[in-house]
Amino acid sequence: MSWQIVGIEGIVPEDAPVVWGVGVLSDGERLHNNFTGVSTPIADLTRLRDENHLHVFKTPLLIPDEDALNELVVLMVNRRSQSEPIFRPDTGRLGGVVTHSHTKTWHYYVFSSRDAFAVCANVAATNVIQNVLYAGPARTAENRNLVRIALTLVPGHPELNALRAYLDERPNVERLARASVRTTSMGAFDLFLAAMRSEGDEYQLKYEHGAAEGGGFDIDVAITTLRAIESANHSFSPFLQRNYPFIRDVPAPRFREMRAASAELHFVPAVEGRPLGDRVARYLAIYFLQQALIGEKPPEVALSRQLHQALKTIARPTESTTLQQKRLSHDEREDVYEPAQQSAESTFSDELRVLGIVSGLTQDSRAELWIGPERRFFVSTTEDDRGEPPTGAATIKGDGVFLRRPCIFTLVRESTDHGTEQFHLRSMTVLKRGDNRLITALPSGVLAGAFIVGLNLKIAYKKDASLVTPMGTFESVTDGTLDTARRWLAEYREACNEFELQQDPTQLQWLPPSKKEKASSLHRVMIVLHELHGAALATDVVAGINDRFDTVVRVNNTRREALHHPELLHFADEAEKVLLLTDRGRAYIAAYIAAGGATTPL
Amino acid sequence: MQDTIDVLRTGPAINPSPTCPTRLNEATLAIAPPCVYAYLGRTTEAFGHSAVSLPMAALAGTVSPFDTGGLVKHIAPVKGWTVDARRAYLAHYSWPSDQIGKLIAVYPTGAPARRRAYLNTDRPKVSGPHEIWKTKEESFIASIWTAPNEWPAWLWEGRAPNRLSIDQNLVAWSCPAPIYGEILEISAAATEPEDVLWFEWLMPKYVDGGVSALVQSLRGRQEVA
Repeated sequence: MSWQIVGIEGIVPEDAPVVWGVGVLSDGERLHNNFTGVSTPIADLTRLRDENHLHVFKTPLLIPDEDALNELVVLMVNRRSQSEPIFRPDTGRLGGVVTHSHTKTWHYYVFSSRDAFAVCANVAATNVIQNVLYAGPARTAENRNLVRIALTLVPGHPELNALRAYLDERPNVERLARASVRTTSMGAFDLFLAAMRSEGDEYQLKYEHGAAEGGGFDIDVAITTLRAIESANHSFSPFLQRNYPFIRDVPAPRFREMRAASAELHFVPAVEGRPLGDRVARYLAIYFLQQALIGEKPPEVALSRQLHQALKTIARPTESTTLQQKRLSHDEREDVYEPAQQSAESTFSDELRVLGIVSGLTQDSRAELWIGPERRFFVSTTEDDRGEPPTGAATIKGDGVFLRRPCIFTLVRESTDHGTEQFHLRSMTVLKRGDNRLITALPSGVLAGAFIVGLNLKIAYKKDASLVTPMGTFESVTDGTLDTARRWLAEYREACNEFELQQDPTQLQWLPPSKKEKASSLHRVMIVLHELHGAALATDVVAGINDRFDTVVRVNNTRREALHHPELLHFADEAEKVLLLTDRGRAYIAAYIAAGGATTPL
Repeated sequence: MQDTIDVLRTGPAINPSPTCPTRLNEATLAIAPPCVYAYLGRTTEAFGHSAVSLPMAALAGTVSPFDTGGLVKHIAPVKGWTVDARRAYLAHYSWPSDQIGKLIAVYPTGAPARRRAYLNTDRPKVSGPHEIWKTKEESFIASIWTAPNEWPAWLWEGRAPNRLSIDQNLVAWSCPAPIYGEILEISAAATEPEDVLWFEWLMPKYVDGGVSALVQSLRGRQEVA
């Protein structure tokens, strides 16, 4: 049987720059909708097309058998559209593209799932935002159109909607843009809109007493303070570029005015003649600095010693000098206190030797490591937790051939009582074919943030570019593309999860997560079922959850978990009265508990 | 695209063409006045252009546990019966829509597994509606839920005379991405406070990805409702 995408749900206007939707899958006899699960005879194709229910491709797209059950999404990019270069995905970098093809008018891309499409759509949104922020005047009809097209791909994108509100000065557009954003993303919408509208905004630091006593400001103290502000800016740069990928670079803070007589430093986001992106980057850098000075640091930078030291210097340049700040978009000044000591509260793990890749570098001094599809973090390549340069890190400077190649990292995890964490790289080895190495730790698959430790597992990187491990063999890991790295890391992660579930949890050692998270709804059901020996009336499970977690859930909540996780728990009867843990569910919850997962309210 | 906005504002209305298939089917089955058709938890086609989702109570009309259009051409054995027999069959299995709560308690029932099976278009475990609403009258006995009939034969259909009103009842809606782009443009041009307010109410209810994505997202909610 050969599978083909013969069309796309809905209509395809000839002049549309991009179109996306559910793929119409055919096995030659029937049309299948993998989103709703329904199918209909292929004889219906013409009628469905004539009634505008779907659009039929002139040439079907062949789909490999293994993808035929996936929820396939089709993206079409119009080759005649001016915006084609912005919306055309880079298939060499994106994962999840099952197949792609083109005709004279259209590029066709088939994605393996909604999630895979969402990654592509968000990349397109980033491209559009970057284009508007940096290419010429922002408020043009062309840019408004570009943003509107991007919003057809990701309607709820907070920054894209904020950009729509900024570009279109009609009074109602902000309300409409805001209405399209989920409540949980409203903060991101407001922050980005404020950054773009910050033409006349100003951030002020005002020193009193000590070095500012009697009017004026000692120049040596002023220099130290400005250096600290620059240093804080540096600390925020990787965080900003990661969370706002459309920012090209984070410029140094623009120091517009120093009122020496009153020891005031004034900074502005807007600099005449610079692109909108420059203003946004400055605004965001100042925003996170001002928030950090009142104790609200993003978790990603919360453990940075460089930042902590800089904030300390800014807040108390000398012991008796005090500081007030006027935040962006605020009128009143507020007192700033010296940041609390943090290093004394940190704990350091033993060394964790893990398999992973270097996925990127920032300024040659920080590397982004992936040790699983969703375990990504930055480490310093110049200094470890003891202040020493990591062994082997020098190899990752230069031509970038090490990027996305299999590596062995020796890491130490620094955790605080507040639940923040930072990884320190002590050594790294880029694997060469023929190498054999040992790893001692795996990221846990059942408890996010935990590690299985104390292992001694051999990793062999074979001449044929496969990685042979006790968890499985992973083929063709060597070409260094993002797609390949994603693929083998996902396979590796899955194999690690299986390994974890096959072990006797009492025989494994665990490093618990830095932050203990509340037990999820699924975990609560499984914990109570585990205590009831793996089988119980759903009503008893609910009573057990309500009692143990001091909450009020209904049978329907429990039923939802069984429905969404049939591999872990299921009902024994059609009436859905008796709930059972599957064998996999039993192994999973035993591992979760052993790894340090929450089993009571926090 | 203006059609889509009109439907979202005032609700779907009948196709006025007297020769469209729906009107012809209605003539065959003596359905009068002409109706707008809605389906419980699913759509009647495997793919679609646009869709709105409304709560069951928003439907003021008649309901039946099959796609009535199918009685004319697709659903065996009824499609082969005389016109009078088909009309009688439809009339027997038609109820006022305000009884839908009681009716779905009988089919597919409130049992979560049965409800899920209905939403997944699984074939019912009985051969036809006559096994649910017991009858000895032979003219109402037909195994329409067995092969070769397919899922439209066991789909709850609602029929609203002339128009299906939306008012404030809209749960969610979807349309093709390019149409959504045009609606964004039109909404930005709205100046009347009432229009702006309406678009502000409408936009959060949009489900991206088209009709199938809408059905999928709502199915998840209904399975456990």
